[in-house]
Parts: sequence; C-alpha cells; structure tokens
Amino acid sequence: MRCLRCALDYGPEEQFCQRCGRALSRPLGSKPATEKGPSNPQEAQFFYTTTAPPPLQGAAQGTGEPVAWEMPRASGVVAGAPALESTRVGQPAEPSDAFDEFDFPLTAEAIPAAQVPPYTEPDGPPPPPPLDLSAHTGLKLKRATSGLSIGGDGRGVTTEGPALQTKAPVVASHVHEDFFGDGEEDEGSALLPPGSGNARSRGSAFAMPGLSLNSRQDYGTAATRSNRRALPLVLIVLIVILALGGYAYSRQRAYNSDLTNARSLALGGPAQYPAAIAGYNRAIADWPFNSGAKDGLASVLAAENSVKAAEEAAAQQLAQNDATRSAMYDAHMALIQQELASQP
Amino acid sequence: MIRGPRFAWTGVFAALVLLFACLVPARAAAMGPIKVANASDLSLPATDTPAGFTARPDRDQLVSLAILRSWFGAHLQSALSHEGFQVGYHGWLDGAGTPDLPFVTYDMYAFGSSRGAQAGQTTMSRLVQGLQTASQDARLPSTTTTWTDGTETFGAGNQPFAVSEVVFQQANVLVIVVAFNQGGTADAISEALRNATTVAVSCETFLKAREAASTRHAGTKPPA
Repeated sequence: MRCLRCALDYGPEEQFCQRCGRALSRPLGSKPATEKGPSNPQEAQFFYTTTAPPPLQGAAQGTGEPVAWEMPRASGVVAGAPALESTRVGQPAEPSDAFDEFDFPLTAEAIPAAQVPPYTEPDGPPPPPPLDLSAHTGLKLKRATSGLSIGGDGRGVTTEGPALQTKAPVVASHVHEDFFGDGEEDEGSALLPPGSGNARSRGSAFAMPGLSLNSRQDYGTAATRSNRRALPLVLIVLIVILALGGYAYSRQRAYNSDLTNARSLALGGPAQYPAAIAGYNRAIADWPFNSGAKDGLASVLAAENSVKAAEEAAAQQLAQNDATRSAMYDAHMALIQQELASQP
Repeated sequence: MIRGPRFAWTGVFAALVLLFACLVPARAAAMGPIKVANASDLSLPATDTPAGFTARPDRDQLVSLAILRSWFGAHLQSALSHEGFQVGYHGWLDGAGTPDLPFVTYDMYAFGSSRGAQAGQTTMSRLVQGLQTASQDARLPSTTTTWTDGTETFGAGNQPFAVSEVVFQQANVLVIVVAFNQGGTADAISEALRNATTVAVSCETFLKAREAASTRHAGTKPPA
C-alpha cells in the first residue's frame, strides 16, 4: 500500500498513512490483503442512512467508559460526515468545499431503532469531547445541517457526534484533497469497493444522478461546455468589435468632414471665424484624435482675438476722434455764445 | 432825314431793355420758394453727400425756434422769428480719418420768403468769427460769404483748430456751412475752407433740385 500524498510505502495490512492519516492506495492490479466480507449492517448502517448518529453516552463526561449509541433520531445530519474526523483542533482545516459534495449515497430509509445494537467503544482512550469553536468565532460551515462547525481561524473542525470519529478512518479520504498534486480535488470516495482501481476512478463506482464523480468526464464536459459558451461570447465580441469599428469609422468621417469645412471657413475671413470655430469644436467632439482640429481652432481663435483687438482699438480711436470733434464744435459754439453775450 | 433812323434805333433798344426787365422778374417768380413740409426735408440726402464725407445721423438735429433760443439766445431767436423762420435742420458730416479730424456741419433754415432768408443771412453773418475771404466757388450763389479762422482752441490744452464758414441763401432757405480741422496752421485753414466749399456746393445743388421740384408742383394744377 502506498500513500499517494506522502509517497510512503506501507505493508499490505496498512490502510492509512501513519504520517498524514490518509487512506492508502493499492498498487494497480493488486488485491486487498484481506477480502472483506459483507459489511455488518450494524456497523455500516450509519454510512447509508440519513439518520443522525446517536449521541455517545458518557463521552461528554469524559469517564472513559465504553459508550453506546442511542437510537438514531431522524434529523438532517448526514450520517457519513465523519470524513472530518481526521481533523483535530489545531490542525489546518481542509477546504470547506468538501462538505458540499459528499459522495455517500444517501438513502431515505431510516434504520429502525430496534435493529441498531448498542455500540461499544473499541479499546483505547475515549475520544475527546467534541469541540465547537463556533462559539468562539461565530463562523459556521456552509452546511450547518451536517453538524459540522469550523473555527474562524480555520484551524480545526469538529463534529457533533463521536460516531463520526469512530468511523473516520474509513471515510477520511472523503475530504476533497489534491490527492495527485495536479490542482484538482479528488472527488472519489475512500469507501472503495473491492477491486475498484485507483483513486481517480473510484468515484465512478459511487456515481449518482446529478453528482458527477468522474473527473475526466467532468473535464471533457466542462471543456465542451466551455466551448459552447465560448462561441456566443466570441460572436458577441466580434459583433461588438464590428459595431465599435463602424461607429469609429463614422465618427472619423464626420471628423474629417467637419475639419475640412472648418478649415475652408477659416480661410473665409474674420466674418467666417465664428462658423469656423463652431466647426472645429464639432470636429473635436467627433473624434478623440483631433490634434488637427485643435490646432486649427487655436489658430482661428488667435486670429479672431487679433481681429477683435483691432476692432476694439479702432472703436477706441473712433470714440476718441468723436470726442475731439465734439470738443472742437463745442468750443466753436461757446465762442459764438460768448460773442452774443458781449453784444448789447 | 438823318435824325429819324437814329431815334428809331434808340427806340428799339429801349423797347428791348424794357422787355428784358419785364421778363426777368417773371422768371424769378416762376421758381418760387422751396416747399419745406418738415425739417427732415432739409436733410442732405446720401446721394448729395460729397465724397469723402460720412453722414452722422446720430449727431443730426431738427432745429426749431426753441433750439435757436438755446443756441443763440432769445434775441437772435426773436429776430429770426420775425424774419419768417419756419424750421431748420442741423447736419453733421465726418471727413476723412486723417489726424486733423476734419468734419463739417451744415444748417439749413427755411423762411417764409427769399427776403426773409436774406434777412436771416444778414443776421447770422454777425455771429461769424474770423476773416471774410474773397475766394468763392463759381458754383455758389453770388451772395455767398466765406470766413476763415485759425485762432480758436479747444480742450484743456487749448489745442488750436481751424474753422471755415460759408453762408449763402438759396431761394427761401438760408445755408450755413462750418468746416472744422484740428490744428491752426495755414494748411488746416485751407483744408477747412475746401471742405466747407465742397459741402456748400452739395447743399446748393440739393436746394436747387428741391426748388425745381417745388416749381413743377406749383405749375401743375390739381385735377377738377
């Protein structure tokens, strides 16, 4: 047996990696060291039922005495949730998406309570009481009904039932992991039927409607689906590009037309300067690359300013001339009136 | 025998003189007075404005007895009224845009008769400053009088300016043309005299045309 994660080889009797605690994989073509008979329905009943595992008696008190399962109560807790048993407080949490895609076939048949024998805790120290870090962090996993909670710092996951811990070695590999180091999560189940092949294809044995477990099929389907999605996107992008190109072409033509018109108006003399300025402004608004229009506008504005300055100077000169003429006329009339006043 | 033909020729000459003397007043009477319905009839039209001058309607003014009173006083106003003053028009023509700033004003006063206009000319001639000159354009009437003056000043700096004034009478209208030029030099005076004569000739031409038109209207009898 070999741990594909740690690349450690173990004997045929070993089922879990002593380093990482994950299920070992058999070499291709090898048979399991021990043929397993039909599972004891009493042992596996919690794996195939939606019935919640019974609470452990005495575990909470930490007596260390053997605990027994109570009658499973109907609840929405997935019986196969012990996949998280391998995680302990203080250990990094596995990707939480694993809890969204359990591969256990969920049956609606509840096992009668009478058929569930009392469970006896195997030898060894009693499991630690479940920890619920949510009370400290306030965070919950996506599926709260699974009875799982995770610390806010992602350091530990606990389950609500000790039964999950006891069965954890069997289902530990249900946690989605990058088993092959290829960046893809393995969706296969560790509940391997005899001779089911390597871990990548194990998922097909538990294929369920609506739950695609074959990664390669997923890849192909995803690629086809991606291609089907890409074609309309490409068409849309092409249409958008064509539309933008057409729009840009029309705006550029309008820019050229307005620029030509404005230049011809600018050559028409000061009387045409306002129309030329309006044309240049239209051209500038037509097309973003409008340096020519801006230059023309600047030249026309400068010419218009010079014309205005000349007009203002002429007006000032005319006003001054009028004032001078009026002064001469007033002086002449004043002299006449003075002459009239001097006459008897 | 010898004295007979001599007396005959003398008698023929005398008869011709009498005939001419009788015809001349009849011709003068045929011209008649210039009809002036309102003051604007005395405005120099653009067609008669001499070249080089620009009318300034904003400076034109209708002249009434009240205006004359404000300009020349009550005494002159009463004198002109006594002489048959009806209405008048004061016009302003800007000359070329030269530094001497030439401009001309003209006043046309309509009287009830030619005799009244002649009396008015005499009255207004008393107000003219300067020296009377003998130079006179042949197109102006023989009764025209011309003055020039280069001693007048204006402004705070007492800048000199030249004035030339032409006064004449055409039928029942008295015309007073005053030309101004900045500067008191002989050239400025000559320029002012030239401008005044030019405008006076235009006014005389305009009034003659008005006079002829009035005579034609007077000879036309209204339909029965």
